[in-house]
Amino acid sequence: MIKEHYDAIVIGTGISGGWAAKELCEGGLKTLVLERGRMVKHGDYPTMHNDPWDTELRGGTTTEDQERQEKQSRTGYTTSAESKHWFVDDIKHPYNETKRFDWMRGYHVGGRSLTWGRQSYRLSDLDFTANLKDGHGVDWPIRYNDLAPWYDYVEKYIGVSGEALGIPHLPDSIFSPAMELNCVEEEFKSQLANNYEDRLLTIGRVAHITGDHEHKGRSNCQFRNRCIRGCPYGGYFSSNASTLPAAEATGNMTLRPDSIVHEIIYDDSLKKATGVKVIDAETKETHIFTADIIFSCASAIPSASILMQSKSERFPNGLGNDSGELGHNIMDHHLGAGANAVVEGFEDQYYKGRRPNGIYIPRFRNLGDKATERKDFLRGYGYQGGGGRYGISEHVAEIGYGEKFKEAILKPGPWSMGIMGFGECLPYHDNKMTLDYDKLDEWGLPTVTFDAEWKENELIMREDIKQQAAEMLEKAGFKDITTYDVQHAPGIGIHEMGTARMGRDPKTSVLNANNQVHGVPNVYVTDGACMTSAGCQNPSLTYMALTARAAQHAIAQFKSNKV
Amino acid sequence: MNRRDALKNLGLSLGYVIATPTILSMLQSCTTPEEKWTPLFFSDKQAYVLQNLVDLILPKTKGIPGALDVNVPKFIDLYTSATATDEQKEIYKTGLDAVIEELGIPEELNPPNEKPFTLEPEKFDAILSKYLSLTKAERLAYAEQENIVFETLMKIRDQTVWAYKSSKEIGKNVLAYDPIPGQQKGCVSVEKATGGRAWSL
Repeated sequence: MIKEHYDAIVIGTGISGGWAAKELCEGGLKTLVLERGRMVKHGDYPTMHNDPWDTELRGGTTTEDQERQEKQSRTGYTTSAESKHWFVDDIKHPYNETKRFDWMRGYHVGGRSLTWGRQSYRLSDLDFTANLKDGHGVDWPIRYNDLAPWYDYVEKYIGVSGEALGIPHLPDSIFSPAMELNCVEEEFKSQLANNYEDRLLTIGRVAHITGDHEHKGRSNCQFRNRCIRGCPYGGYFSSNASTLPAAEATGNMTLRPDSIVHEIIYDDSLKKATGVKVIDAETKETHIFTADIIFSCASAIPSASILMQSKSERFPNGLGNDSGELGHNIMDHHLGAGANAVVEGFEDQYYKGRRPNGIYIPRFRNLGDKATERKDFLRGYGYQGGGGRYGISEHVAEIGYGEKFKEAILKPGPWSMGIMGFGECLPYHDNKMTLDYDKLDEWGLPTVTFDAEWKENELIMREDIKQQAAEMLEKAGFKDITTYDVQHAPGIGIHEMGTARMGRDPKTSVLNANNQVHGVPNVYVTDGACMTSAGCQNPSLTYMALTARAAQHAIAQFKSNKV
Repeated sequence: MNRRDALKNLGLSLGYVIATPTILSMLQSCTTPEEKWTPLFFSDKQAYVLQNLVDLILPKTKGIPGALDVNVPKFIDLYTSATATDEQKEIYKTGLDAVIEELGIPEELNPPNEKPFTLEPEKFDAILSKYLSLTKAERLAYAEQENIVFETLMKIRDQTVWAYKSSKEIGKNVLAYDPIPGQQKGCVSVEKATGGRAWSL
């Protein structure tokens, strides 16, 4: 068994792990960065330039491939030929579902930072005080002011394109120039302003470079909208294009792919963690690496799973699990409910460039005042969506086939406008994951079992999401409005979080206000596991800010010899 | 220069430069003639019917290739063969056989000692007219009945349009092709954006 010592170990290379690696290395700490999957260097994106006709099945996959990604395909978009190599083989990496859970995973350097949706929104005190006010879950141990400077710090580095609105419950980021709305979205925006006092539409806030600010090794978005394949320009933020090269440049990083961390070693006499146990994914050899500081950034489910497997005399139920909350309170955002409409009157208008972004309608329910208060559900939702010219019009459908039909399908399709809700999910203790030691994976490790579901508050909120979507489109004067409600399982938002929540009390939470494990101050968890409530905003920006903040704390502790 | 290498070079070395039409024209490639094909999935009779339907759905017109010119039936056959589950394949075959039955095509396409069977083009035209040139209400009525001929012909039309537009010849040279736009404009006239065509990508 090989033993090597480092100042710090980071588990995971996704959006949180990349940030931990960069901050710790730039802080002067010799850092070992462990990734369970294969190496991927920036630019190693095999499908990044493919046109549809460049692959034999034009994006389709064979039935053999489909069988190996049955769960990964549940989103409907992740396992096409252009991106399937960024999602795991479900047969090689099984999990169990007491209740269905759509768990999308990418085992490779960069993780899901390569394939994320890039939507970036700050949380606000409406979110940080939500649990305290309505009594669900526990109170966040931090407030917006604690995180605001770290949002600034992260945004300057990653680049966030968007429009400042000055609304308190969706604080503005530091923005590079916004992408443009198309003319139907502009129309919807002005109609919303005419018809409602409490609603507005803005361009999505996305982690793409659009301005003159320099981002080392990256260049501006080229509007190809092929982000999910990996971007050769580094037009959007990913660990591969950005934080990992920055960490590498310090000379302090050792990056080790194919390294499955399954346990953090706790020393009962020293009362702290001393290192990690690793299985080499390829050779299956075991290794121990020791360090003064450990950052778990493996994403919500694996981070909880590692803590659960880290049993000691002091922590018989898993590291930091005095509260019994580890693995509980799984949250995600519920999506898949919304409405679409056909828009007439803009037939001579089109657009240029494939905008990798949509529109956003910020939350307008339960904002803390009487006017927006709902009696039927707690919390709220935002909408994402967009307008475009796709498919064929009713008129062309009636032509049916032949010369005129052919002429028509070569022209821009009819305008449509669609919006879909992203709703907050409450933290429920009984939405949980456990480990099954009877069903082991090929490395002899226990597999994860999910037992989580949407409950009444989410389901009632979805009704409002549908109704309001249809009403807004109708009031805008749009036609042929249809609502939909695809009943996905939790996980589908790919925003799983909450399994090792932050809190003020070790009796009811796993992490403290600095993301340190209660009782084990040299272990930090800064991925989605740490979330105390979900908000309705896409969460990656918050993971990045929390990680940078926690890393700063860890560096100070290290330098003052407190760990 | 290999097209992919060319684009790759553009991507890595000229990332900040907006690709100009001149650069793009370097990347254009020539068209391929219609290929002979042996069906992987369809029977000869099913392939014969598919060819005829596809040709009528998107015929060759002046200056613009038709579906047969860009090998749409061959691609549909390959795509179905590789990507469809056994159940989907069964549904497709059952549907096509229902179309064949309604067209009145005999058991043997090439009976011994007789001329090979050919169906009058009017018959193919009639079945497409009956099931594809419909008002919304008529479509809904067929859908409600779960009419298998209707569902199969709609599927063939959808696949034909997709296979046609995603073919290299149409995608690069007929539709407005712009692999690296470099900039984004929200609202531009159709005329100015593409000269009237739909975007390819």
